[in-house]
Amino acid sequence: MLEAALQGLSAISAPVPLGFLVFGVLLGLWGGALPGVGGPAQLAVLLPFAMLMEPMNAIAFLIGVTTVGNTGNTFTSVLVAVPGGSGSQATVLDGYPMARNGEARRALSAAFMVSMMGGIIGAFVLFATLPVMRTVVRSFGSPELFMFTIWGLSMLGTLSSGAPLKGLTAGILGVLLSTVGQDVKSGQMRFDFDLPYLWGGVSVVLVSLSIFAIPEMIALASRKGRIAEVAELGEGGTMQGIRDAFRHWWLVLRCAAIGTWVGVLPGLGSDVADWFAYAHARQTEKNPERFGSGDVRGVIAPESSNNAKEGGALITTLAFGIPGSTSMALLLIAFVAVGLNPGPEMLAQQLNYVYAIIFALVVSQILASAICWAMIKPAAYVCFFPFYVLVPMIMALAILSAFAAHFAMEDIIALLALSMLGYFMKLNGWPRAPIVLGFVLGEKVELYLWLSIARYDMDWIWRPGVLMLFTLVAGTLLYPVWRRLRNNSAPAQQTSAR
Amino acid sequence: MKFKPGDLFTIVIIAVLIAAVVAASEWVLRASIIVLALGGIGIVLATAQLLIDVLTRTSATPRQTPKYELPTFDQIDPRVTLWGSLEIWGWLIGLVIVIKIIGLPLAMPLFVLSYAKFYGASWRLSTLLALMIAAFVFGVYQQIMHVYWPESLLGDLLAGSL
Repeated sequence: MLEAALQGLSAISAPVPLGFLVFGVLLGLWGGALPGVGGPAQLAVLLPFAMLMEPMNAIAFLIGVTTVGNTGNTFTSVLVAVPGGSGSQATVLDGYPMARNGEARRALSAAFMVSMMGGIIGAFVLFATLPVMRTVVRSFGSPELFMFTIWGLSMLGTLSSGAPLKGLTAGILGVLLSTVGQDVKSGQMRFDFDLPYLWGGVSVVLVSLSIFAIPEMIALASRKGRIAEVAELGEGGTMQGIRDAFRHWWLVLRCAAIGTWVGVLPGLGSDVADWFAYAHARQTEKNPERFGSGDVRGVIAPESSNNAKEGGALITTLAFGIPGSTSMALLLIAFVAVGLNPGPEMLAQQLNYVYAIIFALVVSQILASAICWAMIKPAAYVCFFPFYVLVPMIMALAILSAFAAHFAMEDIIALLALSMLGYFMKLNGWPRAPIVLGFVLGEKVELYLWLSIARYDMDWIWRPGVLMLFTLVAGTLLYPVWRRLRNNSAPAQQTSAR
Repeated sequence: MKFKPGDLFTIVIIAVLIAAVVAASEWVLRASIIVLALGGIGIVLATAQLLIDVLTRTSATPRQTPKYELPTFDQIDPRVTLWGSLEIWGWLIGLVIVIKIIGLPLAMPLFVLSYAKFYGASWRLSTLLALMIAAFVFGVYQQIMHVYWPESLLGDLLAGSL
């Protein structure tokens, strides 16, 4: 095992694979920073080239491209409220208010630091658990995945504090939006209005752009100012962000664990890890009322989870040959094409490649964060650009990103129609995060519930994993109530003691 | 009891939920169950929200801004917000029309150029921004991704004349 690890390390650190790794990281960051360009679309374009490479070069290049997108997309999430990808939606909630408060450098620096930490934690978990993970993952069937999605939905209340009825209604709207298109269980067309465009459903990128990005740009165009409401770019923010990351190390660790676990579970999807981590932080951290107004913990939580997820996703891809997402499926295709055999065989016969992947993952995380740090200062000046520069550029990029969903004119019309919803929600004080979380989880809730009933009838309820997760859901719902009661009783006791 | 224009949005949400439930009632149960169940709950929640807003609001009640949400338009003069919003919606609707007429690859740089120039950017800056978007459209979408652009009236006209 040690020999294989050393072989993997020496092979991946040779000049040529390292060069491909750097090139892949640059492309991955570039794709992540431009909404709609990164992720599976970018990987699909690069796949034919990667398939012609030597195995070690292909590993270095593809790991570089695939695993750093969530680091690159932090720029747009924090600076202009445009989630660059599905893994950075929750970062907008506190990152953008920080940019408006003149703390863009602090937010970005903390985000890149915890992205690196999360990515390395994910890689370490991949390294440590690969041999034993098979049994654990196999114990997770559709009933457990259903309960996992219910755990996610139980966080809707957390994301809508201050307006719980509106938040829950928005979450339900999100779930209903996810049902648009052909129902895979029955073939029934739902809310398709006889439009072929809607048969495949609505893209998550389109929903997040229209709920967050376009309404924010409309607000900026309306007030005809700049994003930052302060005159100066906070000096020293970069170091403060790094200190924030270490000060909240326990939060980083917890959220990285959440991200890794979400990545491990095939089918849960890459776009829920950041939401789970954000809601977890909001529920468990002290002074939760600061979240949403520019609290650095609201940036740290999602960013440490979305990169840790990559290590988790690679566990199932490498150990079982089961891709948990579209990107992992494309990665799997490329690995097979260059002569690797992802699955149990790879763990037995190609262990050096497995360790090369783990080392490539670690190096790419460090490299991506270093590159992004170098760009913090110039990038943060975006907050001081006048609206007539930012609004048309961001609007154009958002429209092009939405167009990338199906490459159809209807993408743009759907973007504007949903933006109208996002705009009126913002105008009337409706929380918008729940609609995106509801949309992300809606399809999975329905699918896993149906699979559970079809396979186990109602006996699925009594499975040990389901009962454990039910306890987790109950804890998630009851913990804030218990904490509120405890906080209320503390002053009362102090008063009676006097 | 006080009714405000913002309550109209809640009414629209209730109407949308009712329409969804009515539409779902005609589907097979397997496809409709989640819409019926959640849609029903949504109608109850949204109606409760509307009643709370209308019945408990007095003229002295300040506007509620939800926590854990990005800043709203509260701090801006409503008239400025309304005109500014109408302006940008006008630009966006105009952009869709222009895309339909001249095609997306040409419409995007034109939109950036005209918006920036209209609101005070210099010719040099406006042109630079438009060129950046044009480079992105043609470089990434056209050359790398080989995107098939949607049909436009100008494109159809040119294709017809050739």
